[in-house]
Amino acid sequence: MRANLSLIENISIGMQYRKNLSGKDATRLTSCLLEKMKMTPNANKRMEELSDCEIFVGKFFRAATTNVENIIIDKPALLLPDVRYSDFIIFILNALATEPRCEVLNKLPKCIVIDYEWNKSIWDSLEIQNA
Amino acid sequence: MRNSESSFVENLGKNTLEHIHYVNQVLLLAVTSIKYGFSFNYYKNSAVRTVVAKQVFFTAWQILPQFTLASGLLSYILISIVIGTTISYGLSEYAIELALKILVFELLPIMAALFVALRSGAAINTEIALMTVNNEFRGLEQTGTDPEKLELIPRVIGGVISVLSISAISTFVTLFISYLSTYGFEFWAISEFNKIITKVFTPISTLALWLKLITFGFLVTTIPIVTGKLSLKSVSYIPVSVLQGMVRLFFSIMLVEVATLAIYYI
Repeated sequence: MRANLSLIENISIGMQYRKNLSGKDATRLTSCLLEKMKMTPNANKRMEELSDCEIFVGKFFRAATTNVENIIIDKPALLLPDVRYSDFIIFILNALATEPRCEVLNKLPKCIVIDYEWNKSIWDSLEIQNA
Repeated sequence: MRNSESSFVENLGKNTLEHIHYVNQVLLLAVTSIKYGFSFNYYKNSAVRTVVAKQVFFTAWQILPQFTLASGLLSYILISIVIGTTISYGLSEYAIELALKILVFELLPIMAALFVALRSGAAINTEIALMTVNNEFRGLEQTGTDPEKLELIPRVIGGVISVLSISAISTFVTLFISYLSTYGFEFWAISEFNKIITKVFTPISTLALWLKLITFGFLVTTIPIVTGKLSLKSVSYIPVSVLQGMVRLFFSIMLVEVATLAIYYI
């Protein structure tokens, strides 16, 4: 995430470059994603004004819109200290999977979470790699 | 004794090679930026246009009121000093010419370069060093993004545009202040003032000024970028990297300034 860009710009700049989209189109698509996450009010805020969840979403969508095969989330408790992170990550993945307007996402990346073994029970629906 | 001698020679050789590599990287980035900067196709990608525009916004637009005020104040004080001094020596006809040469060709360009260096150079250096530490360049390459095209060259182009634009605006302010300081709110002296301007801004001196400003524009962005990129991959090394970058930048700006003074006046 770039400190001098807003949440929406941080996500859309990658789409603009890789998909050769116009700034307007990339912003529209990013808005769809943020709307799903109920983060529209803070879309134009910069990093210092964003919560840990919003920063995480920014980083995750930045990665997801590159069409990478895998996204590795290493110790999510450190990135999302204020929420039940397993639920939150599943919420993000559901939001991505059920967003028909986001045509830039050719396919959803595989999400690999690296977490401590004692948290294994909360990751039933995701692929788990033990830390 | 032999060991210390050999280690001295080794260090000297190592440092020389490092410096050559560093200068080579700066020149390479500058040349690549020129190549892409003049390529129409490069700007077809909207992300490039966005990054250039953002760079100009943060580097030039945001500081424009403060810089214009500071340069206007400096111009007014210097012009008043020069006019007062030339009158006391009976050389008042050279007052504006002298003041403009000092301000427009020497002080304002270096002031613009230092302003941009302090405003954006340090930030760019830190940002690039952080990207190096976090392996972001490799990450971008692996996702099919050329980090040089998206992250580095737009910053260089934005830096050059910023130095050129804030220098141009401060030059206009200086010309306006020098006219007011000399003739007041009278319009009859415009043609006389134009003659002085034509005398000061000869084609060669204007070209030299443009070249100097463009060089400053490249220096204030390429040096922080390369220093950040060559920084050690440790967060604790970032302050050292920024310090090195700023010192190198300062000496490079001074070197260009001294060189242009020597070429122009000696």
